[in-house]
Amino acid sequence: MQGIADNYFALFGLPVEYRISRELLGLRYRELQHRLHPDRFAATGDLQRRLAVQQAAYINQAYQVLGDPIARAKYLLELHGADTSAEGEAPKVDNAFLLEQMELRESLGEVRQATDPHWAMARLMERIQADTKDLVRELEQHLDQSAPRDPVPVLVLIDKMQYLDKLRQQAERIEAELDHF
Amino acid sequence: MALLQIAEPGQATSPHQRLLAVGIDLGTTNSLVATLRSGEAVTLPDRQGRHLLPSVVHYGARGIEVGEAAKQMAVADPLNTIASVKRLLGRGIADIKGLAGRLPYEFDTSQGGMPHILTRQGKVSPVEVSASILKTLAERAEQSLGGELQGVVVTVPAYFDEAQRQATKDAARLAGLRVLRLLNEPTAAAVAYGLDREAEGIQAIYDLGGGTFDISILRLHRGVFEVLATGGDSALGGDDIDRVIAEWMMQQAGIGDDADHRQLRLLLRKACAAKEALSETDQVELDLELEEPPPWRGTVTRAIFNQLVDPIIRRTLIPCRQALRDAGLKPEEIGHVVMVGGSTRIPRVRELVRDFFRSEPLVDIDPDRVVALGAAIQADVLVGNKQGSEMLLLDVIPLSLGIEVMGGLVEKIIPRNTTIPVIRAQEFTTFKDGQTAMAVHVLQGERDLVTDCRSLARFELRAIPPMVAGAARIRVSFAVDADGLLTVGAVEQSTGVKAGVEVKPSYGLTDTEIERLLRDSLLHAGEDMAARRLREQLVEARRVLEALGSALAEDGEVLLATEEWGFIALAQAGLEQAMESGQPESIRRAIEQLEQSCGFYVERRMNANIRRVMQGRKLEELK
Repeated sequence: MQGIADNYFALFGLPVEYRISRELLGLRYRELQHRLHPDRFAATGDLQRRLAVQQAAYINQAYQVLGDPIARAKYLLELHGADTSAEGEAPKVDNAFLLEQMELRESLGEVRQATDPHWAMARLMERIQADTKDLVRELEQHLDQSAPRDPVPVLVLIDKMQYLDKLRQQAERIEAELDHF
Repeated sequence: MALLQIAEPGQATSPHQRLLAVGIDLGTTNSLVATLRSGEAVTLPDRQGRHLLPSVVHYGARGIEVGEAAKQMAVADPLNTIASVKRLLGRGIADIKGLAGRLPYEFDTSQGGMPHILTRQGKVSPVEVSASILKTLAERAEQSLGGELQGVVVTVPAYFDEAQRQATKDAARLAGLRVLRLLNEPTAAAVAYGLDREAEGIQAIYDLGGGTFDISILRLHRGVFEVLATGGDSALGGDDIDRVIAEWMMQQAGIGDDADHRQLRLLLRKACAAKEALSETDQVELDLELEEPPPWRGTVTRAIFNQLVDPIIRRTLIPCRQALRDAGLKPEEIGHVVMVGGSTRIPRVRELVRDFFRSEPLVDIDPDRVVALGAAIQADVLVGNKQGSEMLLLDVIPLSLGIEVMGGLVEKIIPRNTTIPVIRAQEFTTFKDGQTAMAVHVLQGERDLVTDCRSLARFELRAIPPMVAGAARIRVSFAVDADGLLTVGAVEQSTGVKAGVEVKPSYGLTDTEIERLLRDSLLHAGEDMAARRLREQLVEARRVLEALGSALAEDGEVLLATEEWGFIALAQAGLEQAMESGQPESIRRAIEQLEQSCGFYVERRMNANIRRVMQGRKLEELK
C-alpha cells in the first residue's frame, strides 16, 4: 500500500536503525490500528471497508517485520539498497559457529532420552535465547543510522540468526511432543 | 453509518437515536442473545423468562421448533431432533465419520462435501439448522427491543477454521441478519471482563464449552485487546464428559455397544444431569429405568467422576502449553485466568486449571453468559453507537494457511497466530509452454502433508496469457479479514492480466445455494422477496448518501477539486434517481457506481486520516 509512509520505520515514527524500542513500537502500533482498523468501519460501505482491511494489513505487516529480529535486519539492509535474496553470493558462516550448531543439534536429539526431558529442554532453550541475544547485540552495532559500508558481515549475522531460529523451531516441536506425555 | 465516514474520537456525527445491535453466542449446547441497556450488557430472556436457548431444533410434522420445546422431543423423536449441530458446521463428510456413529441422526452423504441430515421435513444442512437458532434469537431480540436489528455480532470458537467461520456467517445471512463481525468467543469474554474491571496486563481465557475448547492469551492495554496466541480443540467439550460418564454407566449396567438411539439419548441425559449435580454434591444416585436389560441402580462419587474426566481435562492443557509457547510466555506470567463455558463449573476443571497457571481462575461473571455479554458490547461499538470508544480488538488467525505444492506437501503462506487482517502474496509460474490455467489448492493446518490438513478450497487460475514455461509470474494474494475469512486474488505480473479465480469451497454452501435457501425461507414466511429486496436497498442507499453528504461537508472543499466534486455529484444524482425507480437491482448498481466514483476521495480521506495520526504523534513528542 503506497502513500502511507516511506517505510515501516517512518510509519511508526521510529528512527531507521536496528535497535528498537519494543514499547514504543507497540504503542505506535496500537495508536495506528485504533484509527484504521476495519472495525472502525464496520458500519460503512464496502469500498471503505476493503481499503481499511488493506491498510490494517499493511500496518500489521510492518509491525510484524519490525518486531522480528531477523526480518527487521533484512528489511533494514534492503532499505540501504543491499541484496538479501538467496541468489546473491552465500555469506560464509565460520566453522566454529557451525561446529557449535552441530553440537546443539546433537543435544536436542538427546533431550527425549534425558532423565528429565523438560529440564533438559529448558536448559537448551535458555542457551538458544542467550546466543540469539548476543547476535542481536552485534547486529545493533553494525546497523545503526548510517548505511553499513559492507553488508557482508551483516548477512553473516543474519545467517547465524537463521540457524538459531531453525533450531528453536525444532526445539519447540519436540517440546510440543513432550506435552503429550 | 456509512460510505465515507471516519469517526473522530469523542465526536458523534449526529445526536442520532440508538441503533439496535445485539451479540449472539451460538453455542453447541445453548445459545444466547445480549444487548446494551443503559450502558450495561444484559442477556435477553424469552417470554417465559428463560435466557438460555437450548441449541436444539426439532423438525416436527407440523413445523420447526427451536429451544426447550425441541429439547423435550430429543428422546421421543431422536432422528428429527438436531442437537449440538455446531459440531457439524463447516465440516466435511470425512470429518464427521468418527462423530457420526455416535450421533443419533441419519446423514445423507451422497452429495459429497457438506453432510446433510435426513429429517421428516427433508434434508437439512447444518447451516440451515444453525440459521433457525439464530433466527429465533433475533426474533426474541426484536420483540424485546421493539425494532429491527441493524446488525449482529456472532461469536465463534477462536479455534474455528475458515470453513467453520464461513458456515457460521452463512447461517447468519440465511437468517436474514447483517453480520457486523464474527468475534472469537474468548475475546468476547475478555471484553466482558476487561471493561468491567478496567484490567490491564496479560490474561488467559480458558473456554470449555459443550463441544469446543479454546485457549486465548491476550494483552490488555488501554482498551486494546491484543490476542497474542490462541489454540484449542474444536472437538472437545462437555459432550465428551457426558459420554465418558454414559460409557461408564453402560459398563456398570451391562449395556452392550448395541444400545439404540433412544437408549443413548437417555443415557447421555442422565450422564449430563449427574455431571451437573456433582458440581454441587459429592455423590449422585443413578437410576436407569430400562426395559431391556433390567433396570439398574448405582452411585457415582466425585472421586470416580474425577477419575473419568481427568484425561479430558488434561487434554485441554496441551493446547494451553502450546499457546503459551506461541506467545513466548511462562504460566506464571499470566495475570488473570478467566473461565468461560458451562463446563468450567466443574470443580475439577477449576482445580487443574489453577494448578497449571498457578493462579485462582476468575469466575464472577456467569460462564454461560459472559461470551454473549462481550459480543453485545462489541456490537454496540461496531454499529456506531459509541463513536468515541477506545475499545479495539486485535485478533489472530488460529491455524496456518497454505497451499499444496509438489509431492503432496503444504507450503505455509500465513502462519498461525498472525494478527488479522493480513494480506500475503506468493508468486507462481507455469511449467508448460502456453499454459493458460493452473489449479491451486488452499489448506489450513499445521502439518506438512496435504492429507493431514483441512482442505478449504480449490480454485483455478484461468486466462493466464500464453507464454513459455516459467515466464508467467502469477501473484496470488491471500487476504484474511477481521472475521478470519479468506479471499484470494490473482494477477499475472508481467502483463497485469487478472486471472479469473473461481473458489469452490470444500464444505460450504455456494452463493447460489444460499440465495435459493433464503428465497425458500421467505416464501415460507409469506414475505415478498421483491419487497424485502427493495426495502434493503433503499436503506443502504440512504446510508450511503447520508455519509457522503457529511463527508463532503467536512472536508470536500479541502480534498476535492471543483471538477472532482462535480464528478461525485453526478453519481450522487444517479443514485437518487435510481431510488425513485423502485428497482432494487438498479439501486444496487447505482450504489456500486457511486462507491466506485468516490474511490479516490475515500482513499484521500483515509490517507489524510493516517497523516493526522502521524502528525498528532509528532506534536505530542514536542511537548
